[in-house]
Amino acid sequence: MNRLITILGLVCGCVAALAALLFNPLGSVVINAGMGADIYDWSALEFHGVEFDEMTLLGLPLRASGQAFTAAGIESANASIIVLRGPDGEAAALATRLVALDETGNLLRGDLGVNTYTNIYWPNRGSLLLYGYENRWPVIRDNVMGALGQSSESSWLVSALRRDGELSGAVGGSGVLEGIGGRYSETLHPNPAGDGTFAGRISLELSFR
Amino acid sequence: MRLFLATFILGALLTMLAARLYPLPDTPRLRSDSIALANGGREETFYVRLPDDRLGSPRAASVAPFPAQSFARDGKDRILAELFRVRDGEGRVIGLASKMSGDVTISKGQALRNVDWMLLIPSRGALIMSTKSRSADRERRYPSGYMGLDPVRSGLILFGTEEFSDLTGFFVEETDIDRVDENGQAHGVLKLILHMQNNAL
Repeated sequence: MNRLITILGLVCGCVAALAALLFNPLGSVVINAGMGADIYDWSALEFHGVEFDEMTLLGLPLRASGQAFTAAGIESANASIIVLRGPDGEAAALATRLVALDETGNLLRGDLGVNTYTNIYWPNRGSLLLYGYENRWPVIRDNVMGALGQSSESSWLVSALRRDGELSGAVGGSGVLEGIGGRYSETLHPNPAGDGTFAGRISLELSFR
Repeated sequence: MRLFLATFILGALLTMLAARLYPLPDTPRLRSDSIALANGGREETFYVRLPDDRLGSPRAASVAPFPAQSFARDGKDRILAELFRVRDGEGRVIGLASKMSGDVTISKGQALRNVDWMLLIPSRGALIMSTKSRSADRERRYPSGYMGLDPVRSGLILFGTEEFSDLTGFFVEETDIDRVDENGQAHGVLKLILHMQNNAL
């Protein structure tokens, strides 16, 4: 009887701790851009490298999406060319994005993510260079819950404070966007093509400095 | 009940400990092969072998299906987006780069050709550079004299992260084409030459 209680206690303790980790209320805070932001839906025209889903972020070689680069120096990075569409569904801008695993993640804080570098070009207007951090813990949590048969979210707000303590935002620009500052936030959702990559929505809240 | 509580706490603590000690993935450390400059800065060169290191279409860069009204009337201002692997001086692949080029409006009826580069070395950080873009940080200062680089062809290092976060300076893009094959593909080396110095100097 004592052995059964011991096993039951251990299992319940583990489950409770896992639940506390997954739904950690003290975890990294995600940031949402304010009202009045310019909103674009984006999807990849080209994608190279590994996608940072729950398997990749946890270092599990199972079902990782995308084809990781074989060179050791870039196996935890990806590069893509993406098109941004405005509210009317028309292509509004072209962008490139480089993404690398952030190595300062912490499971206890519910903080596993990637650093993103994005260069957006609006035809005939200007370009914008963005640096941000995405905490993909919400993706992990919902996919774990989904695997357990629970309903999960269809999109995830992932923008969080960068490692330098700043909001994800613009670090440079050209043309009419020269001298622009400001921040942005992003939500991700599975690519409708079903290839395991993400598409998303970016909300840009820019301001002249 | 006391036994259940004790083992419950033990199970929770063991799970937390496992989460604390879980070996998250990391990237191999790569050392910089920069060289010191006489002006107190440092030079580092990154290499792209063409066409091998181009990601995606080897013939052309991506062009988005923009509606016609997005472009100028002459229709010439294509935006080109290119992705590359990047190598160090010993030929090892150490990072990724993106290059975007296109016309940007500087005033009514006036446009300039701009080239933005983003260079990502996962174990060291990232550099964001441009020929015409300017930093969002208007207080950012640059060394005088382009640190020995050609003023006409030089661009600015706008921003850096991690190992590059305290650096400022300039870059030049050089392309040495050996030959063009029967498919029209250029074979050669693209070099990004960076001259940097600590922002505090």
